[in-house]
Amino acid sequence: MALNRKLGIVDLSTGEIEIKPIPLELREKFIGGRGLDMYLLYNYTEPGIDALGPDNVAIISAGALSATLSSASARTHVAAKSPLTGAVGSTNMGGFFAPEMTWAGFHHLMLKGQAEAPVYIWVNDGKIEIRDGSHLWGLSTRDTQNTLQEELGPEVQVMCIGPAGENLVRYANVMNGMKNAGGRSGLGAVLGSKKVKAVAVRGTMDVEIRYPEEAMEYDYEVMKHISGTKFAQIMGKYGTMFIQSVTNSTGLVRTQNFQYNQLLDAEPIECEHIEDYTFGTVGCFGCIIHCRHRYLVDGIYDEGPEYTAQGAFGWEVGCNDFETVLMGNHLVNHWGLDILETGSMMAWAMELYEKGIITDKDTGGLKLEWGNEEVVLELIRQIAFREGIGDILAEGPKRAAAKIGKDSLKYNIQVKGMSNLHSDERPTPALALGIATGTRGSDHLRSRPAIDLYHLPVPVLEKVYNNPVEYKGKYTSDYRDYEGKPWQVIWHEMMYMAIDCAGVCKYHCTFLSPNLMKFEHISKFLHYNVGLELSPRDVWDVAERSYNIERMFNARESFTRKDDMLSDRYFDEPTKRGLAIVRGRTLDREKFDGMLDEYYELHGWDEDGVPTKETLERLGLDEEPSHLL
Amino acid sequence: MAKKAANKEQKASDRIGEVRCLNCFHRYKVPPKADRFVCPECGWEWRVSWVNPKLAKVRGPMWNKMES
Repeated sequence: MALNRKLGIVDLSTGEIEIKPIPLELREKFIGGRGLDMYLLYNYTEPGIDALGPDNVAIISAGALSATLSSASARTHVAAKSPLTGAVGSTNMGGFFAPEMTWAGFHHLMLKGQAEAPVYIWVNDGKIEIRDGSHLWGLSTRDTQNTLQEELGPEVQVMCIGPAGENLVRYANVMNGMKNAGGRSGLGAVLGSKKVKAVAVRGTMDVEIRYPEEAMEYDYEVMKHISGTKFAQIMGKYGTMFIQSVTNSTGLVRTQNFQYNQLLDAEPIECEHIEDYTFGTVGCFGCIIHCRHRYLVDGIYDEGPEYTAQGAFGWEVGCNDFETVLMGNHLVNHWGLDILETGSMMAWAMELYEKGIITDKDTGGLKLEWGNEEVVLELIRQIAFREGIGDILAEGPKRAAAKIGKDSLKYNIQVKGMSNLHSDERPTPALALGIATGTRGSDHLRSRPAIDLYHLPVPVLEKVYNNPVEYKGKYTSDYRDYEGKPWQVIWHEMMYMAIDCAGVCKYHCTFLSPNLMKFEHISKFLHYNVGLELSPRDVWDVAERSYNIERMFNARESFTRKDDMLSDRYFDEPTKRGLAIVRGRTLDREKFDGMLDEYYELHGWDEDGVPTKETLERLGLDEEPSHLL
Repeated sequence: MAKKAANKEQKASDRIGEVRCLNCFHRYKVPPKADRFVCPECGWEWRVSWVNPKLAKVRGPMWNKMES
């Protein structure tokens, strides 16, 4: 059958390798990808472990649809306990790694223990080896991949860490290709703590398609529809940078940390400028949108940049220079840093510097002034190599604030210890709720109801959000309202979890457009490609089950309602810029609490945000950890 | 089937150059190749760019008119 890819368990401490088939029972409960990763994470770890110690596990997975006739199913997911937050660590990247790992015979790889010296893992046609990686240690992410491809063959795909991961920067990323980054949660540091520099994969094993003709036809239908949407055409030309045309124009971007909500005179970093640097757009395996540019700046090639680069090296730090955005994007890819956390930490440091909480003495004379492009690029280096003030910033919001003291944490925009995207949610309660409740911390990719920004008519909202589970409450079109928003957040949580279990790119689903893939499409893709018979409602149930395991992991680590909360600045400081409809806005504390209450109730959690016994029984999670695999 | 496809094509062509004002959410049509347009509903002026000859997008506001 199609779903015959295995789990490989690598014990880095003992050198033992175990290969296990994945029971159909677990596929029906969790599908694969992120869902099954979370089941494994919950079952293979104990509460209170050190995220950078040998008891943590790093799980790398391809989704259930990887390497099938389902377009855009190229996503790799990585899970571990996060060294940044201590909560669920989860990150996802595109590229070509996941399909190659699938052809190599595996859907999931688990790395446990710690190697004594640097290693890389070689996965090839059903076999796994631990190999000496000392010659790779210290290399950039690109040089690491080039070196391994020279040694093992040009078709090998590599997932690796950069110097930031080796230096245990708590928001170090994992990379594949030029810019496919698993940035959030600091899982590059987990691999660094295990002395795993890279995982290299190459496979030639067939992937059986259950109903190949029907799968091909259905994929053609769906992709034809997607490629005809305005969204796909705009993404294919500008990448995610086009989002800035809406958000900065309106006044929805976190600027100079949190002091403003719009970068004025932002023309120099508008997405249209990519046309001066690009060689054309490229895509991930099996993708029709091709949303990223390959560009040249200062003699250096890279890919992107994304919306997060405009934020991190643009409005957050008060810079208005497109080449700084391009170079910043390159440096974080090169050294292996989460672009989002890097930008946020720099902006926070700049505000602390502005307010005199840190001084030239703390920065070694580096002037952390808004809009200083050279300082921005130098700070990225200092963070990656833990030099100067970078050594403190490398610790992430909470630990860095503990070192700095002087009430510095209150200026940091973080949830559960992870910084927020460079967006400003004061005018958008639904988006605010999403980042507050994200299981991996402040997060825009696990629940963001981004289409709330489009002021869609209520009948359209009903059509989207009442399937496959009906919401009996009222919807509102205005993104500044609070009514109906908790359900929208939950719907997107389930949608993105389902997409992550299948291994499909979020840009093909109802993330940035209401006209894209939903639960019924995932159901059909699974049926045609891998023979998993799950109705749209079943897919929702899998997503809910998987999301609850994440919540259980966090509860086990003592995360509760107090951690589903935003900085006081959201409630106390009104927005100062933007269009009249967003100016002067704060979140209303009472209404936000009301949303949180409704959100918990709809999820079947208690008032502290912990899944109830009834909910766990309904989802078949009451006997976890069950150790079925 | 042919009528449905023709209707879909007609709808698509009706929307050539259509953008949405970010200030009032009114949908309006931008003249071909125009690089700026004033929303007929609220009067807010936007700069416009073209993804292709049929698809316009809001590029940004007139920054000199945005209050600081």
